[in-house]
Amino acid sequence: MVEPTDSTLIRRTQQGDTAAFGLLMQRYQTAVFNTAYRLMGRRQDAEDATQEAFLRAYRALDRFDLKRPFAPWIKRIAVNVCLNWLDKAQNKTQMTATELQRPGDESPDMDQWVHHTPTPERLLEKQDQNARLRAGILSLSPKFRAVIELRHFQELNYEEMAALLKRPLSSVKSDLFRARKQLAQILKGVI
Amino acid sequence: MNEYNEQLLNEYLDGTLSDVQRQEAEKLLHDSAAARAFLADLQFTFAALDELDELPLMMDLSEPLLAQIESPTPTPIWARWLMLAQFTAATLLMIQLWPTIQSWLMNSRMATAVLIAELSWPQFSLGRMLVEWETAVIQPFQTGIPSLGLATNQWSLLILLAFAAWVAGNRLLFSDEGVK
Repeated sequence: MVEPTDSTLIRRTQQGDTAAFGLLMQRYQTAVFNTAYRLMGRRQDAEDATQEAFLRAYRALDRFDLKRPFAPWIKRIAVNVCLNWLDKAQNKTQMTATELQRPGDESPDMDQWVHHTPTPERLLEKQDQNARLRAGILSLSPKFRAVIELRHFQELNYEEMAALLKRPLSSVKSDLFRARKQLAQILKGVI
Repeated sequence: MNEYNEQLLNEYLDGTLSDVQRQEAEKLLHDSAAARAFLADLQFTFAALDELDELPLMMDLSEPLLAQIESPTPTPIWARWLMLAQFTAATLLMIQLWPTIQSWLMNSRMATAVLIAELSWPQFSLGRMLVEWETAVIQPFQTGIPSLGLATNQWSLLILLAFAAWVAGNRLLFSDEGVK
């Protein structure tokens, strides 16, 4: 059975079929959750932000242009939700690496790694690197997290980032440079 | 290595440099071991970000959201108070305007009666029935209804408050940002 396209599901949602929106959400909720998690740093906050993003998307769906892809749009809504919440919370979500290792926040099952990583040593290295990278991203200020998210995970160019964040192009370039430099030092173990 | 050169190498990796700047960056990389080391660190960081795995969701978030969407939204308490404020404002305005409305109705009734008489409608005409009905409805209200007796500035303030309540209420109640 051919799965319905995003456009089909959106059109059905616009006609009042909420089950179609449910399917759309199931398709993208993991990706949106990871976007939110990279910005918020806590699983519960990320889940709440994910639901809020999809709720806003549902309310705005009647104005959605079907020619545009849905995934980048919903992720940008999630980024805006997270940045608004972070502004209000004022750095309450800064987390240490130790807090990141609480139960429930671990990496995926080991079985998923077996097919991609040939040796246990490489597996452990990768897990360690991912953990340090996640901790590093969360140690950045919210505006640095935002530019890393938009550039590396949503593949926006500088102009698109400046427009979304409503900041000057030079500031966005500078923030991205500083954020990357800070992450590079964290991965090297300098910080 | 200074910050200008570091930022140059950062944008070199993004591919956003002009031809002149790209040549400058490539010369820097050719001449400086520190520049090459910095670029290597950035490339490693880019690769690590690309390879960062997704965390799985522990639960399906669509079910509670769909339940929220499909359940009827109860009217918030503030919206009920707002509706009460609108009704009160409208009632106060009606009471204050009633003498003017009364006099308009009486004048229009008299004009209608004259018109009907001049047209010589038949005995059981619809027109006569309408006039008799109008008299029966209006007469009980012709005896004095107490007026608020407001001063001009108080009257103006009342109109302003009533209008504001009406506009705010309609804007909030009938827009997506409101009760929904």
